[in-house]
Amino acid sequence: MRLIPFITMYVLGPSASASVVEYTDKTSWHSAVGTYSTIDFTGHPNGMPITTQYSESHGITFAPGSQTHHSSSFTNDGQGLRGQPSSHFAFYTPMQWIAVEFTGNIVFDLYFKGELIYTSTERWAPINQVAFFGLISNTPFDEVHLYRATFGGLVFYDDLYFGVPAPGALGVFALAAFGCRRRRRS
Amino acid sequence: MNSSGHVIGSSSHNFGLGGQCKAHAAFWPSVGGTPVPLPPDDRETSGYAIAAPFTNGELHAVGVDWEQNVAMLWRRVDTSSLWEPPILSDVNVGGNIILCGQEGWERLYRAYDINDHGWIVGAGQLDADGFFAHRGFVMIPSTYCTADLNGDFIVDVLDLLILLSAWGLYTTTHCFGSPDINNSDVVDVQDLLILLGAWGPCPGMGIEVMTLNEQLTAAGLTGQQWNDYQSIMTGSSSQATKDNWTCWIMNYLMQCKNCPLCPGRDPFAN
Repeated sequence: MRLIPFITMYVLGPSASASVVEYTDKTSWHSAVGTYSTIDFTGHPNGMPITTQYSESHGITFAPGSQTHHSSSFTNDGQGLRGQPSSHFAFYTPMQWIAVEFTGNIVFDLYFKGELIYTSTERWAPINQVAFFGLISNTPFDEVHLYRATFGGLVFYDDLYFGVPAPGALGVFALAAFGCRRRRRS
Repeated sequence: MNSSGHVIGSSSHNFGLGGQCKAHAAFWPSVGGTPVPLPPDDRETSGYAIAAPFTNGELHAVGVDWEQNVAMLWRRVDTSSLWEPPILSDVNVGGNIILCGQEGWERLYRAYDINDHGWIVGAGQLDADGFFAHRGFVMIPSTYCTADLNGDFIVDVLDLLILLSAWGLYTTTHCFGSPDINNSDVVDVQDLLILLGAWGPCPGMGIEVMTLNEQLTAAGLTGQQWNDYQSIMTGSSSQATKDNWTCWIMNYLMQCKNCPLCPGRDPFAN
């Protein structure tokens, strides 16, 4: 029964070979994942290409096309990332959850070993606000592609959150996934 | 660029915004002049078109906010004022615009062009019973004269003929050009009265238009005959009678008295 509050928060994504739960509520996602890493993209001049700046600190490398972007659109700290036409990055070690705060609209593609394992729903932020979009996957992914499916060509997001289950927490997530399935059948 | 030489576009010029240098919607008061950034100052935006939709010197510019992925409308009241913050980012802000075609617009992505009557064309997302579809839109200021059914900026006999030819028609299309001017779902005498009340050039248009009396005279009708027609239409006569009167008055207004189109006798014949 304690799983029910968690279950009611999730939305299963539209396409998957991975089982992924989508969150649009930041607090719920943070509570569900527990621990995570954060990149806020501050400390860089506006327009700086981001590639390997976070490789050592966070184990993540960005493909060409992502650059820092200073704007009042990013209500957290005024600084975020601009991808043109999209933002593509890879993790040195596979992750199982990821989230961003974004403006406009955004879609996640998750890859593992070069294979697309999940495409998320496209989410929209209210005008002149940032919105939260987070995923928790039951299988690992090592590459992420962020883009706009509708009127694309650019994508904007600010804080990037990601992580993996702590040792010992895997059972909890397996149980949660099991609970989700049972509820869907009922 | 509009007919006054005002230019709208995008500039990567550093507008002194803390060293930021990004594509930004900008206004040039004249070709080769110094660009003025359009608000908000620190957003990545583009301007697509500019127009002077009124005669009071007001300027309107349209474009896009790339960060929010929404259409924009900027407004400058007069030459001494600054550009106001964009107002198109929310659909139908203040009820001052009309979105044509269908209801249920979720978001307007782009505003591509604007004419000197303030009409804006663009693209947006429509919620059609839960199915989201991308559609073009035309946005018309609600101050625009809705009785101008043929879009020539004059309410005259041509609009009257459009209305009469649709007499009794049931329609749920509530947009520019619909003869159901008052959105009651039926074209009836209320629409006729609105049209007659709006007779003449649309606001801001310095166009000479024949008055209704002049139009009636040219059609060989008297004011009394026109009053008789309105009495019939608002009275309790049968639908067949009303249809016959409407048919004949259209013939007169089209100056086609002998066209054998109407089912009954000519009620205006002496």
